[in-house]
Amino acid sequence: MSPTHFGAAYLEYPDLFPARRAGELWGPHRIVLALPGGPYGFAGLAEVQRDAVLDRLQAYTAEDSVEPAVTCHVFRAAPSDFVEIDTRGWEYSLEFDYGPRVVRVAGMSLMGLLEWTGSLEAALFSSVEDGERFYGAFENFLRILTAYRLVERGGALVHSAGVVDRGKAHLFPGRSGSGKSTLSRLSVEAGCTVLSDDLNAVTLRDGKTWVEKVPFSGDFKAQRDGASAYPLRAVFRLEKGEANALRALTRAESLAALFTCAPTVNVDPHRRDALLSNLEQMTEHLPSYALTFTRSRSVWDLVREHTG
Amino acid sequence: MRLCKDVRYRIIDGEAVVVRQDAGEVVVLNPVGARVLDLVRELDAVTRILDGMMREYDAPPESIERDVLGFLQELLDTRVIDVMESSESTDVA
Repeated sequence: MSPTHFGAAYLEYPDLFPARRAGELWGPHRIVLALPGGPYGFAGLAEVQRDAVLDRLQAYTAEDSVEPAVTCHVFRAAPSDFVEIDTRGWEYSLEFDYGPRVVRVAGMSLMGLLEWTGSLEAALFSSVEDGERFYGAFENFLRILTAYRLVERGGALVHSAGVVDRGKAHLFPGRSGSGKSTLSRLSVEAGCTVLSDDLNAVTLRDGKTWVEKVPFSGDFKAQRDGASAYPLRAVFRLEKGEANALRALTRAESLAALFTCAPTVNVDPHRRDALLSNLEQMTEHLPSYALTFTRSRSVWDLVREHTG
Repeated sequence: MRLCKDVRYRIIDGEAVVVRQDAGEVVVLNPVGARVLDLVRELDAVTRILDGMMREYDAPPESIERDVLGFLQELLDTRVIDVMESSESTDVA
């Protein structure tokens, strides 16, 4: 399907996309999530929605008394607002409309608004109450919210495998199919800890780059043991190849690799420059390599040889 | 010649990180390529770009001309730059 304008793939009435963060809330419940860039507060949840989020993100919940840095209200949308989609053989991708002060998002059973009015605020409009389906819409929106908030805070959300070895993070950015999940599995076999095989938060603290755990994983279930943030030792851009090999990247190449793998914000013309600036700062003095690897845990012998 | 409207770049340690927004692509140009891009942005005529490169680089002029013209063609083919209409040009080359 090739929509002619924003929202046409998912919405029956794209022109009726909510203009404001207002409407009927699903319920009285609230959750605060302690994620990088947050805390993030979600208000207006029905009980079953809150429970669905708690069921999956319990490890990231903060006390209700914690003041969120970003608040998202969850509003009802009518099922009739959304187009019925046959998902067989279909690749899901959200639709975005990027404005200087508002970003609109449309997807299956969801409409989302991010709005900058002094500070970032958000709204999620969902037509589903049941736990599993609601959580799908919720997590999709949370990923986007986290991506933008991290850029605001000088960081970025990067499609990558994040792996901890001897107390230091190693970041392996790569798009879908680049081998992040395979690399993650090999890392565990080599005695490392995997933060995520899909998305990792990269932040700057006192001039040093850190990798922070976020609850977004791909095929490989992330391990949750240990601390949530680790200093970044090096970046390894994943490339296809027939042998284990490493070559040094220039800082520009490292920045390009991270930028390419920073979803959503990297194609937002109003906030892309901020992302580039963040990555420019983070890549200063950061060892970076291009890594090709075979499906054997000996890749970690090579990585450790270069990282000491 | 000029940068395409959707193109942004920044210089990092002498190399250019070039973002092609419409295609969702990022390419890295070496320092010589980065300098050509700077000259495209500053000067719109090919002759002036060539003059600039010949002043700055110590190589036979014909070699510079061949390499720069070839590179400019690549930038055109990959829609990093495009050609201005003659009415838009500030210089008659």
